[in-house]
Amino acid sequence: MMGSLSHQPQGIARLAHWLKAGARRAASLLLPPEAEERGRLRLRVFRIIALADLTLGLYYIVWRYTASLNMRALWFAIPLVLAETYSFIDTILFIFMMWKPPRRAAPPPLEGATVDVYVTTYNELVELVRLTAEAATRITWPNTQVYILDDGARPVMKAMAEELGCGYITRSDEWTGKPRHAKAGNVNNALLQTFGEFILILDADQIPAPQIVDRCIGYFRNPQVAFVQTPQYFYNLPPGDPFGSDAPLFYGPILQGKDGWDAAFFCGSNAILRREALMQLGLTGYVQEMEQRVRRGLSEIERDLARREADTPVQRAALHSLRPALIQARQSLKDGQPLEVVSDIVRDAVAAAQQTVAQQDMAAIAEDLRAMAAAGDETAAQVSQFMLERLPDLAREVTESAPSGPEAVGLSPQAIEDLALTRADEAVPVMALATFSITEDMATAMRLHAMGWRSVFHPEILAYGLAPEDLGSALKQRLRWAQGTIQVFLRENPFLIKGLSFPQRLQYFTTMYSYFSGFFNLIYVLSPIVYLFTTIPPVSAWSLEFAWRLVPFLLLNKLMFRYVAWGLSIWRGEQYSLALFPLWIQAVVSVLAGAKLKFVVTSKQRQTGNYLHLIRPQLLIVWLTALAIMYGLFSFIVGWNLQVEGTLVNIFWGCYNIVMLSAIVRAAVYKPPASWEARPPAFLFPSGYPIHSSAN
Amino acid sequence: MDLQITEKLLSDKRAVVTLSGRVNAVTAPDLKAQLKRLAKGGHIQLVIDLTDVPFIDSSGLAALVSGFKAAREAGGTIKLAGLNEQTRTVFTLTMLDRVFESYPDTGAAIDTLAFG
Repeated sequence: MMGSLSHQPQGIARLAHWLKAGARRAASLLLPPEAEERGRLRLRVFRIIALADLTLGLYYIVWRYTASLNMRALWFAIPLVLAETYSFIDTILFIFMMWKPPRRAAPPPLEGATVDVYVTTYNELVELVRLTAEAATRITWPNTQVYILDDGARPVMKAMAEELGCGYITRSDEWTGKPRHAKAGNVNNALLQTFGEFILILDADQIPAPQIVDRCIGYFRNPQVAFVQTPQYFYNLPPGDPFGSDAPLFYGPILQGKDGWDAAFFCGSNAILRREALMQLGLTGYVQEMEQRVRRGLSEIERDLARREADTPVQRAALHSLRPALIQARQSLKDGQPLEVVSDIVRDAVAAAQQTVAQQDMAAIAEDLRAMAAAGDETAAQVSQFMLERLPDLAREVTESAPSGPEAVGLSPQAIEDLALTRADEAVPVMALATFSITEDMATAMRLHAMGWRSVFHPEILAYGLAPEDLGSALKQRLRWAQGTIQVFLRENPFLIKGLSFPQRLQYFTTMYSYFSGFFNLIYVLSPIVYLFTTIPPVSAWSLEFAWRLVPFLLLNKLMFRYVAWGLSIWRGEQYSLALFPLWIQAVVSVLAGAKLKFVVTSKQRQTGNYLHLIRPQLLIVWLTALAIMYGLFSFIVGWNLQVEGTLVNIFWGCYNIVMLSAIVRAAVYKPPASWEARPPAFLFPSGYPIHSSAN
Repeated sequence: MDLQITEKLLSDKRAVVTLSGRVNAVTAPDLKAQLKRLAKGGHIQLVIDLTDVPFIDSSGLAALVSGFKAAREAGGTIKLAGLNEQTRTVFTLTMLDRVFESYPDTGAAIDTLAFG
């Protein structure tokens, strides 16, 4: 690059220099000198663009519904207009999100705060974790203790932790044989063993800057702030970011926008959390879970009662004796009595019913014995008398020494288990980080917000980590995020859980909504193919009116995104948001189908090979589009199709789709240049870059 | 101020655990370990006396919950005694008053324990 510049004629170079200087001068005259003033101006301009964009969008979409559907091909017209509606709603949500970003300035540090740094690892190489742990020990905040949370329980990792003076935490023995809940379980386990007031969570590869705590801890001066999230950036992006890992728009304007609505996300790493908030979340979660179980237990017993009418008279009588207890239990629950009281009412009644059954069983035996005695059996007569005399005591002894279980009175064991208040299926009762989803971070943040906690996105880059270095790993990571997000959407829908403000609900919904784009993007990539092969248009006419309604909206929309991104590179992200449509479809379908999802630890090492087999749908679309374009041209030339406008529009559209999909095709066969080497930025290592012998 | 934990065994199953000091993230692991040890030794009918506990945070509560879980799994329970205004507030705030029964003093709490 430098070489080619020096070959330019002197004059052109000088001209370019003048032009640049002139532009800078003009900008400095036009833009207010104060950063705050500039920010305000930028926001105002954004709002004007956004309102204009919305107006044009509405102008277009209303016309699409009312005047331009091809009524003779509704099978084609309706899917396309639905896709366009999806995109328009997406734009509305985006504009709402970006409407009032806060102007954050880091407050002075919260003196005396104690901070635990958690470096979470499962199977990463020791040398990689060492880089992070060492950097963590160089964090300048005085009251900091670093812990390595090693879910792999590896002796080498322990030795390394000791060498660096870090704490080393593995799962306590309570976890044996219980669900481990991946990273969320790892952190929950450590929370019960360390005692800093604040927790900085770092993924194994996220190397923190020394000032990370100093810069963020001040936000906790506000006692309502539960967490401060900082961006996730990567130091190993190959030139041009072939896999689209870089997310500057998300870890910048988007999170700032969400922060403006008090809904900054917790993204799993590079965030500081308030222990008290996490523990409170875990405790209320525990109580809710217990209460749910008691309710479920009561309902189950009630159902058993309704169902078991036809059983033996003895069982029926015993079950009936439970009725008053159940009514009393429901009432106690309503009155807010301790759950144990509720549980004990029912459990005592069940025990009494079991005794009644045992007593009547024994009475029946005694009856039989008496019959035998009447036939002359001496011993039988004695035993029968003995039993009849001490029936209640015997029944109690029998039920106590050999518990018959709830089945004896016709109850399902699950109901009694629910009433036991043990949470026996979990290793630790208090789960601070949500464990029901493979994206535990999003679910946790939403629950914290629902409890009324506040959050902060601090936009300064204070850590650098590793992005996937091959398409296979990158796709796996994206699939996990998508699946986890949709899982949260279904299990804890932001519109249904209590305690969120409406804008907060929208912020969570906006992110979830975007993962449904796969279906609509499929329609977008198929449309030009269908038209070029069949000449059936989805719109009533490729008219001039169509052009002047759509084109200004499209252009302004693109401009708005560029404006929001303000110099950040978002092109690769744009390409991937279209090109990943099969992955998003797969995510939605797999979650809806109830597939069991596994937390996948993102691979931090390059897997060699090509990945064309992972992008077959995209390859097929590219191939079909190319074919359709050629066919469209050919049929136009030979005169089968005389629709100039339609053919041109769709050839252009098809080319656009191919350009968008080309990124992922290139990524599938990508090999980084031999000279390229990933190195963390120098500012993370104020005293020089560490060099270790890689003896592991 | 450190947390002092003293236990008085009433029988093979019943015991009173008296806490004195602040129950927070620093002292919670000790409390949790102590409660687990008692449950392992068969003392599963416990009264925890919080009269001399001026402050308890949610990490302290989590330790109590861990103990409660261990006791319940063995068929026992934990009752609380002597909550003051601060400690009562955190129990209410976290809704843990729905889980733990509490009594004004240890005597009243012991009376509600099952015999054994």
